[in-house]
Amino acid sequence: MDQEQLPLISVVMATRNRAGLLKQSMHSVLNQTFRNLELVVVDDGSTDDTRDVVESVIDSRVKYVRGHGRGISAARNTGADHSRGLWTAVHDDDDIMLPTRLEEQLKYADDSVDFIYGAFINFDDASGKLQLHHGRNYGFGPALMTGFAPGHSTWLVRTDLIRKFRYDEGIESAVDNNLTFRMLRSGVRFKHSGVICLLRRVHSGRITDQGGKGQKYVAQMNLAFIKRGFSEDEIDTLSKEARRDWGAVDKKKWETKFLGFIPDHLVKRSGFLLSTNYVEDQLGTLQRLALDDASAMDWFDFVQRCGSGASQDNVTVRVRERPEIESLLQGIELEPKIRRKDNRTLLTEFALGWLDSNPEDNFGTSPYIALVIGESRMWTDQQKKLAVNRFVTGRGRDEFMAGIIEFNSLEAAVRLNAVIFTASDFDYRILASGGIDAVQDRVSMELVPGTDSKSV
Amino acid sequence: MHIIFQQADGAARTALSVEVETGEVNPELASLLFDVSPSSVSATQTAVAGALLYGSGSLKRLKVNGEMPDTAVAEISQVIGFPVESDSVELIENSSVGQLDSLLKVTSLRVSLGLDLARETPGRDETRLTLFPSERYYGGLLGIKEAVVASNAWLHATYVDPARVLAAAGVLFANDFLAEGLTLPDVSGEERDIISRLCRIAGLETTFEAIG
Repeated sequence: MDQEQLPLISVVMATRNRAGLLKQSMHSVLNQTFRNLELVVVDDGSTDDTRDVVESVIDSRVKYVRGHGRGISAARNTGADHSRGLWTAVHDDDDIMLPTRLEEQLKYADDSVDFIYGAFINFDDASGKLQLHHGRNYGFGPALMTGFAPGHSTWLVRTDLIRKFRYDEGIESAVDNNLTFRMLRSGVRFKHSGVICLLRRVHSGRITDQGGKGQKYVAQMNLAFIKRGFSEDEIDTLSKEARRDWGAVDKKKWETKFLGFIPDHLVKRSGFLLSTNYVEDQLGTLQRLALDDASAMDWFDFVQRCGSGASQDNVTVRVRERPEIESLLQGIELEPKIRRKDNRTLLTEFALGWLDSNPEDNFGTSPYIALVIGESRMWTDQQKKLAVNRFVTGRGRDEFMAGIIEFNSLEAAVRLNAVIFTASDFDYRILASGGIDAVQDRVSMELVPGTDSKSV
Repeated sequence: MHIIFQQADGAARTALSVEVETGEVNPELASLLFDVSPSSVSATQTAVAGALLYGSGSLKRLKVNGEMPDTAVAEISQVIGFPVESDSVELIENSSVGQLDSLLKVTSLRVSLGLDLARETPGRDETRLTLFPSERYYGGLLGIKEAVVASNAWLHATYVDPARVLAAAGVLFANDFLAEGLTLPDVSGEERDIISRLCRIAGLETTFEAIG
C-alpha cells in the first residue's frame, strides 16, 4: 500500500466475550475528531457474537483480527503485528475514548518523544460516580515509589517500539506495568500530555478484577525489577520528588466537562449541541451553524456529533436519579439555563468566541471588522452582499444570520453602519485587530468624537 | 550535539548521552545505557563513541567535556565531517591523556549482543564483552577476561548499524579489558572504513567477522 494511504494511528483493542460493551467502545474510537486512524480489533477467542458486532460496524477503518485465545499479551502483540499506523493508541473494549483524545495527544508527537500518555476518569457503571486519575510525570521516581505506570488506555506509543519490546506473553496481568518498566530501563522517552483521554468503565467484569493472586505476584516482581541498582536512600529521594510531580492536567470543571459522554443509563442530557459546517453559497463560503436538541439524542448520536466537531458548551448533563424519582422528574424537568437564551444571544456568543479564538482567520489583513447579527428575513439583498457571510444559522427565513465585513478604517466601518444597518434591528459590532496598545493608538487617532461606534 | 558520559541521573546506570542543539534532529534514542560502569574513559573515547553512535544522524558539531589531543580533535572531525570541540585541546606531545600505557594493551575485545553465556573463557589475548538487553536483565557478570553487562544497546541496534553500536560500547570499555583492538560483526565497506578510522583514533584496531 502507498505510504500516503497508511493511517497515522492504529487504535488497538483486544477483546474477549465483551460483545455487549464493544459497540460503544468502537463508536467512541471511530468518532474521534482525528480521523486518520485504523481500529484493529483483536478477538482473543470470543465465544459470543463479538465478530458479528465488529462486522456490523460499517467503516473501512475497522480491521477484525481473529486471535487464538492465548491471553491479553498475545492478543496485543497480534494487534501490533497487524497495525499499519506510525503510532499505536491503546484502547480497551469496555472504555469510552473522549472525542478529542487523539487530536490533543498528537500535538505532543515529535522527535523528542516515543511514548505519550495522559489522564483518565473512572466511572462506576452502576452509580455513575467519577474519579479522576491524572497520573504523574513518568520516570524512575514514580515507578520506584509505588510501581506506577501510565494508564494503559491512555498510551500513544510508536508502533515500532511495541513490536520491538512486545508484551510479555508469559504473564497475564500487570502486562502494561511490565512493558513500561522495560521501556523505562531502555531509555524510551515518555511524555505526559495532560490530556484526559477516556472514561474507564468500572464494572464487575474487568480484567484487573479477575487477576487475583496473579496480579499481585506479577506487579511485585515488576517492582522488584525496577528497584534493582537503587539504594534505599535513592529510592526514598526519588519517591519524594515524584510525590509532587503530577502531570499538567487541566482539571477545571472536569466533573462536568465529560459527563455527557457517559452512557445513557447513567446520565440525562439537555440543552443544545452547536454544530458547524461549511457550505458554498452565492455569497461565498459560509459557515453554517445548527443548534440541535441534546435531550433528543442517544449516546451514539451525541458522540458522533461531538466527534464531528459539535460544541457541547451549551449542553447540561445530570446524573440520573433512581427510577422512581426519575419518573417524577419527567414533565417537571427544570428549564435548563440555556433555554432562556434566545438564538440571537447564542449566535452572538458563539461568533464572538470564535473570533476570539481565531482572530487571524477573521481579520485577514484588515485592521477592523464589523460583526453583524440579525434575523435572516430582515437582511436586504444589499445587506447580504455587503456582509460577506462567515456564519449563518439554518436555512429558514426566520432564522438568524451573522456576517463579518472587513474594513481598513474605523471611519468606514462606522459610516457603513450609519448608512445601511443603523435603522435595522441588527447587532452591529466593530472589532479591531492587534494588541491592546496598537488598537488603542489606532482608535485614538481615528476615532472622531461623537461617532456612534457601538464597540471597539 | 553535546556528548556526555556519566552516571545517568536517577537511573542507577551509566550513560553515553546527547543533548541536541538548535537545528539538530533528536536521535531515536538519547542515551546508550550500561548497568556497569567502565573504570576509566577519556574525553577522546567519549568523543569517538559519540561519533560512532550518533555520527550518522543530523549533527552540526560534536562537543565533549574534558581534554583531548589536538590530533584527535582534527581526526574525528575529518572522519565525521563536522567540527569537534572539547573543553581544552592538548598538543600532540601530550597525547597520552586518559590512555593506558600502550605496552599493556594487548587484547582483542570481542563485543556482541546476546542472551547466552559462553561455556569457554575467551582464547589467548582475547577478551569478551556481551551486552544483554536491559529490558530483561539488570546488572552485570564481571569475569577476568570477560563481562556480561545489561544495556539498551539492542534497541540502538534497531536504529543504527549494530557494528556502530558495538564499536561505541567497545571503545568505552576498552581500558577495562586492556584492549588494543575490537572484534565486531561485519558491515558494509564504507561503514567499515568509518568505524575503523574512528576506533583507531581511540587507539583500537578493528577486526570484522561475519556472524555465523
